[in-house]
Amino acid sequence: MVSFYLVPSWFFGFGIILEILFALIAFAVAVTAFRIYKISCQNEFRLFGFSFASISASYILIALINLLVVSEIGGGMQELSLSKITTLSLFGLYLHIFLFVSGLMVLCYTTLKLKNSKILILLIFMELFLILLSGNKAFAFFLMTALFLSFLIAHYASEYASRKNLRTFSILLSFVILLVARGALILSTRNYTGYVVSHLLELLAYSIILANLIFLLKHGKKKK
Amino acid sequence: MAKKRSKLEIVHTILENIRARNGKIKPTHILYKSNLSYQMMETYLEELKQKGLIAELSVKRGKTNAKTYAITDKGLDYLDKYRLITEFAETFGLE
Repeated sequence: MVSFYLVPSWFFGFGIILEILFALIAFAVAVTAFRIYKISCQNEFRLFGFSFASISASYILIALINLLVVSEIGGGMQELSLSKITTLSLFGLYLHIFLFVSGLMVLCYTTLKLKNSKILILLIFMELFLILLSGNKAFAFFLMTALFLSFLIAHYASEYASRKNLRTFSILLSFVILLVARGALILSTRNYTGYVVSHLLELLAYSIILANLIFLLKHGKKKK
Repeated sequence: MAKKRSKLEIVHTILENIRARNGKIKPTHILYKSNLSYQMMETYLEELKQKGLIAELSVKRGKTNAKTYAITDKGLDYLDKYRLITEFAETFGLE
């Protein structure tokens, strides 16, 4: 049986609520970025908005999959098993992986200030092949997210080193926490604690992002 | 060494200079106020025009038509929300 992850029954509903919360926070960041794009007409804000919208959609999808597909396996545990789910659910799961990794990929493309869109198309195709051809989807998913998160961490670390801005540091911290959370999630294929730890860490990371967003929206109204 | 200005800052300087001159300015004024090369200024003005932040006007001076640039409502909105734009860009490492 190919298990994508194990979820403790007591955490099942809470996990779904958290996933919807992450989706809402990511969506709020995307909407703000699109609003700023509308005012400034700078393409990087639009791409940034797309990346967070994609991450938001991926969380909605996984919340739906958890709600509809995860099955009870006894011992107070639930499981998302790749061998048990229907083709439609499998497609949903692959779409979740694709949207999440694509979101991080576009985020890397934007923050690293790459200008050639062919690079982005090439990366998307490579991602698709990895998802479809990989024998261990859970591990391939972790590897791809870890790779992009590491690049983002390196970018935010260098931004913080040059600016010494506390808010840039907090975004750096949130991406480091997200990377650790992804590491914990890979453990959840064998042990359900990984699932709980990863969700709690993600909650911390998204809370930091949300706090920054609220600060920006309040503080940004003042005129320079 | 002075820090290299970001694109957002340069756009802000151009728009702020137009606004300071009652919303209309000649390209030569933009050139010395924004501290850009002629070529860079042309590139920026073209981009701002395309994005609807400024509009090009033709003002009759004697027998010739002089080119001037006016700030649009969208341009004024940019200046109004500049703090939000730069702080978002700084926080999320987009500058």
